[in-house]
Amino acid sequence: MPITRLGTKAKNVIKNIDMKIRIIIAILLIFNYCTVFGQKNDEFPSYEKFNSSFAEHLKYPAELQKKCATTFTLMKVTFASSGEVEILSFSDSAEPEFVSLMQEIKDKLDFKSIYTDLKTKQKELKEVLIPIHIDFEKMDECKSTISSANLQKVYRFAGTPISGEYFMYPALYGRYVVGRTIE
Amino acid sequence: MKRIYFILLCFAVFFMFNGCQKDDRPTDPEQTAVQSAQDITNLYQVTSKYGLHRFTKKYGNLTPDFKEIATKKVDDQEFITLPLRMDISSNVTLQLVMIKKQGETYAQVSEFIADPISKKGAREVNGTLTIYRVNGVLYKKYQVTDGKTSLMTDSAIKKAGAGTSNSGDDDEDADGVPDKEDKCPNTPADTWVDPAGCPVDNDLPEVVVPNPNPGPGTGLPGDGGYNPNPGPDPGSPGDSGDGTGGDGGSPGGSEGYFYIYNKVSNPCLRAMVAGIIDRDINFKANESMKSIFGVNGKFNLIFHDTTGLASDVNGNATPSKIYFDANGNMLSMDVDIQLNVNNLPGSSQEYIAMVAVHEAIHAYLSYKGYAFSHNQHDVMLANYVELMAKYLTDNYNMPAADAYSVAMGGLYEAFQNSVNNQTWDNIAAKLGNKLPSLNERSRLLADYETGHKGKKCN
Repeated sequence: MPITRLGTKAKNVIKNIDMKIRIIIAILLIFNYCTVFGQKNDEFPSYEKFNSSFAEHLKYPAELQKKCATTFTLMKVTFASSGEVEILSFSDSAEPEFVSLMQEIKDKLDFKSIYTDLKTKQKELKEVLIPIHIDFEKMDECKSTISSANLQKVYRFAGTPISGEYFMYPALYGRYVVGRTIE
Repeated sequence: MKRIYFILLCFAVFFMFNGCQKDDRPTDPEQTAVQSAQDITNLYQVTSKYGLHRFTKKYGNLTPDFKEIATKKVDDQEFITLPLRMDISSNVTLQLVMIKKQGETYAQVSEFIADPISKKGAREVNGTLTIYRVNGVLYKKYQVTDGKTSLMTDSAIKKAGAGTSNSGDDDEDADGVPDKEDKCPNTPADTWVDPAGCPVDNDLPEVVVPNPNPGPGTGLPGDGGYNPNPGPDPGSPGDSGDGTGGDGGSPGGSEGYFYIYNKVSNPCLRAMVAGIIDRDINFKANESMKSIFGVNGKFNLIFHDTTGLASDVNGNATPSKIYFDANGNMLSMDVDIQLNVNNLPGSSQEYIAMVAVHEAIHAYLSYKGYAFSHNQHDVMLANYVELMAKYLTDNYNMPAADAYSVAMGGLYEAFQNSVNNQTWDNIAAKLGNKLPSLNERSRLLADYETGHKGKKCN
C-alpha cells in the first residue's frame, strides 16, 4: 500500500477522535515510551543495590566449590514492621553450607533496599521470595549443573510446598568462577 | 484550539521517537576507540579457547599485538582489527576482525598469504585472502591481484590448490584444513568442519561477544558504584603501621571481606609486602593497585605466604572469585597472591619486590579481562617489563640493566612457541641497550634471587 494513502487514512482517523482523547493518548504515549526506554530496573529500583551487596559479600563455600555445585533456591525474607529482617530462610534445594553462609552475611546485605521496593509496591505484604541462581565454575576443572533432585525441592520449605501470598522479587543470578593459578 | 491540540499530539509523537531514547553510544572518539579495543580483546580471549586453536596448530602460538588494534569506519560499518600474527618469512598476516554494523556485531579471522614477489619492482601485493569464521571454519576465499580482490569460487579454490606445489599447505576440498592434516578429504562445499577437517554439526561452541563492559561493570571502583562512601581507605597501611590493607568491610576483623590484605606471616616478607602496598603500583594512567583493589570490598587482593609451592616457583596468583551477573558484567573479584616462604626470605629485596609486583600484574590483568587467557605472560612481556623495571629503579635505585634483568624473571616462557623469535627480537629491539645479553641477564637474575646482589631481606 502506498505510504501516502496510509497517511491520509491516518489523518482522517485522527480528525474523528475527540480532542480530549487525543490529549490523553498523547500523554500516555509519552509516559509509556519513557517507561519502556527507561532504566532496566525501573520496576525495582533497589534491585541493583541489593545485587551489588550480594556480589560483594558472597564467598562461595569451599564445600560447594569442591562439589562444583550450582545453587538454585528460593530465599524467603520476612520483614518486621521496622524494615529489619526478622526471618531469613531458604527452600530445601539450598545446600546447608550456602544457608550457613547467608545467615553469616545477612547483616551485610542491603535488605533495606528490598524493603523500600516492597513498601512501594505492596505495603501489606511482609514476606518476599527471591530466587537465587549461582552457577559455579572452576576454570579447566568443572562447571556446575542443576540437579533434578534439587529442582524438585526448589518450592519446598522443610518438605512442605510453599503456599500463601508473597512478594516475588526479581531473581539474583551470578556466575561464580575460580580462575586458574598463574605463576 | 484544535490546531493546538493537534500540534501537541505531533509533539508527543516526535518525543516518542526522539525525546526519551537512552543513548548509550559513546560520542568521544577516544572513548569509542578504547571501547572497541576492549571489545576485540574480549573477543580474542573467548575465541582463543575455540576457533583460534586451528591457527595455533597451523602457525604456532599466536602473538596478538594489542597495541596495534586499529579501528576503521567505512560507511555504516566499523572494522576493528587485532593483528594475531605477522610472519614475514612465510608472508602470512593473520588478523582477528570485528565488524559492527547497525547494532549487530560480527567477527571473523582474516588470513592473508602474500605471493612471493615475482616481478621486479612490483608495487602491488598479490596473494590469497581467506576469511574464516571465528570458530575456525572457512567462510570465503579471495584472490588479491594488483590490490583488487575477487571472490574465488569452489572450483577456482580447488584449481588454485591443485596448482600449487607440494608445500604441504594444499587444501583440495577447500575446507581450510591442509590436506596433510585433513582426515576427511573431499568435504562438500560449505560444510562446517572440525580442526581435523571432518564435517560437524553447526552447533559448535557458540562464540558470544562479551558485553562491551569488560571489567568490573557498574561496580567499577571509583565510578561511584553502589558504595560511594566505603569509609576510611583500607589500603592505607601507614595508618596501622603494619602495612596491611585492613579488612575493608569487616570492621570486626573477620576474614573474608577485604580490600588489599597482607596476610603474610614471615616478618621479612610481610614488611616487603607492606611497603609495596604502601607505595602502590601504577599499572597505567589512573589505574593503580590501590585504585582498583583498595577502594571497596568488591575487588580484593590478598597476599599470603606459603610453604606449599614447588621449589622452582616463587609466587603465583589465583583469581579465587570472579563474579559475573546475568549480562556478563564482572561485579566482584578476589585475587590471592601466594609467595614462597621457603625461598624468598633468602632473596634480595629487589627480587622479592619483583615477584610481588609480577603477581600483582597478574591480578591486574585478570581484572582487565585476561582471567580466561592462557598467555598473560605474553602480555606481560610485551607490555609490562618496563613498568616492573621502572618500579625497581625508582624504589630500589637499581641500575637499569639489573632492573630489566630482574623484571624479565619468570617471563622466559612467554612466546615460547614463536616460530622465528620475531617477538623476542622486537622486544629486545624496543628495550635497546637497557637490556643486557641473555647470559648477563641470567647471571644478574640469579644473583638477586640468591641474595648475592642487592639488599638482604633478612
